[in-house]
Amino acid sequence: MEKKKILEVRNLKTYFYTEDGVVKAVDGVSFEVYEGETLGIVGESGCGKSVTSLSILRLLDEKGRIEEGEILFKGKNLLDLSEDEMREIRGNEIAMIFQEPMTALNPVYTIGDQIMEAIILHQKVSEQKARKIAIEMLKKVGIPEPEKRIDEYPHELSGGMRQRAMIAMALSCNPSILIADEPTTALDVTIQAQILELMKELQREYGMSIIMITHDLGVIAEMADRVLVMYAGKVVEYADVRDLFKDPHHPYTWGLMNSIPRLDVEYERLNAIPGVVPDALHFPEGCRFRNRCEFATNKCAEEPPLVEVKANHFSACWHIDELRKTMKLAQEGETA
Amino acid sequence: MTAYIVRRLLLLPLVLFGITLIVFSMLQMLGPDKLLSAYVNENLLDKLSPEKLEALKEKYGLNDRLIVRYIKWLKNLFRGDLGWSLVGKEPVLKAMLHRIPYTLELALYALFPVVGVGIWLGVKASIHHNEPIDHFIRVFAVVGWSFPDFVFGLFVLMIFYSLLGWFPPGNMSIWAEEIFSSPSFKHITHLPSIDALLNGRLDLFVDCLRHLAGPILTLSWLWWAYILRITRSSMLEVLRKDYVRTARAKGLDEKVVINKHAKRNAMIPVTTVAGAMVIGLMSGTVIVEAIFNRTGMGRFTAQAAQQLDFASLLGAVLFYSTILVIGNLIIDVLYAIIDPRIRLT
Repeated sequence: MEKKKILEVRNLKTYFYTEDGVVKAVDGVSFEVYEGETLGIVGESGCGKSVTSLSILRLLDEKGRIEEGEILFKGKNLLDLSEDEMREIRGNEIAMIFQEPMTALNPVYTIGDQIMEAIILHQKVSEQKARKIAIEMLKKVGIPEPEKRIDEYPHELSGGMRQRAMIAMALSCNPSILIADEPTTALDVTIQAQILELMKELQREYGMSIIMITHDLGVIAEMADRVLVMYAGKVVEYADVRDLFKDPHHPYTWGLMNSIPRLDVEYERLNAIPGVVPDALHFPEGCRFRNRCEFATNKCAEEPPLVEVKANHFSACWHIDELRKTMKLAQEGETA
Repeated sequence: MTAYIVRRLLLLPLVLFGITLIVFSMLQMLGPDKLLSAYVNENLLDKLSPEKLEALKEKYGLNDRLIVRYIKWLKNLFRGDLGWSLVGKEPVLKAMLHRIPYTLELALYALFPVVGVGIWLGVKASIHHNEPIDHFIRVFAVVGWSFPDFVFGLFVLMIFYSLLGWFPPGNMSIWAEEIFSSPSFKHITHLPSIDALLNGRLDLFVDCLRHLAGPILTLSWLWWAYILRITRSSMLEVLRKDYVRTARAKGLDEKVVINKHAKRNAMIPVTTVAGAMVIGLMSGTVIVEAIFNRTGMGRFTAQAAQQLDFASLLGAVLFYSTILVIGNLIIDVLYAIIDPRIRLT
């Protein structure tokens, strides 16, 4: 069954104009999100994954500008909408939850007040009705005693409870897409698992699509249907989640996977990708990963296109063959 | 919270006791000879014989031990007698009651333009960060802040009194003073402008406002700079916070984002500064009072200090301490109202 495309981002370029120069935080990113699926966007800090999500909602700060591209949501280009029309989309059609539930909730208003605000705004209901919906939502996200908790302030809740309240707030208007920007990074591991489980459950119930932004491949494996791997503002690999883990086609993706410690192997030192993400003002010409890549040659000074290497699997690298040879050798070495 | 307020108020007498004891001791350190000049004309003092001087010191109890003198002062205080004011040429209590209304009135009317408009300007600058309006407001702030009040006050007098004749100096016009002190005029709040309204004298009310306009303008101009800068930087910080982004991500109107979500969070540091300012206003503003020839507490205290008028000084200290304690209590309560994370216990 062919699934319906709900969001399509085409050649998105978001630049920041700082005093030191232009930062090309997102430079020609394209992807699509289908109804009811979860798209994972993975990458290191500063790769442009958060900027991508903020661009979709047009919530960039004053220095950031979307220079080029299209963001088609249900066929409409969001970049053509007026600010008023955009507000109708935010929180209503596309909702977002953030990394730090401590700072993402306003400390001076009760969580009920903050949840009801969106409901009253988008569903045009009375305050009593909004309160009922808010209590219902709090119950759904697993907050005990919602009738009491609704009048509490964020600082009176634990980190996990706060993130649950954030999810309740985001889902209160039944959005088609939920953008989750590192929703579990600030939480401890057991709470992480609970929150991810909750999101899956609610996705089944509401049938919304999720864009899961994270640097954690574990979260991706747990949640995503398809994955977009970003590096320095570019998409380096884009594939089905199983295919990506089983058969990575980009040295960066492979490096990320190698850096996850495995329980069945003993290490002298953990594997890491050498070097750091380059300074956003001075990305290398051509392939932006080449200064950290073991396969890099002169060829890499030319920008590699994102090509379909097999069905529904895209990668942007000149040396996929080299990579696959090395991967094969490594695998054989392990089994031998 | 009520328990907290009551407890703080119960502490007030203790604070007053401590402060007056300190000020009293410091004043007594001047020694009996200097203290005598508060009671006897200095020219006369030089001509008196040592025996006569000693007799005078004895008469005014200047040779007594400090604690004896302080207890005597306290005893009189409880009878409502704060001594004779050299500056006011009437009992201290009466002299202060004649001046406090003018100080409070100025504070009351200056409060809104100084604090309200200052905050408004700061918020405006922050939401138009780095736009021309922000630059304009900041330049305005620096210019305002760099002006000494005695220069700016004189400018105001020059333009609005000498040139335009709009805002005369003084408390009120002579004709107004006559009505004000006539027996048929009822003093209900003791604030001249308010009493004028309560007595149905609109002309008197307008006259009071005309006399208040100059000082208010001067105080506003000088203090806007301060308050708008604090507001601006506090707002800029809050506007970068995650919860402001959350509010925007909900689809809220930018006005709601600013006024509901950002402003309240930005008000904590502003409250501290604005509170200190209002307390300052209530204690009187010496230079502004002097320039605009108003009889307020600021000038009274300055003159009392100059003339070693101990009785008046101690009276003024009582007044200031009370204002300070109550003012700070109000600020603390405001904190707790603004931010639920602050608990008063």
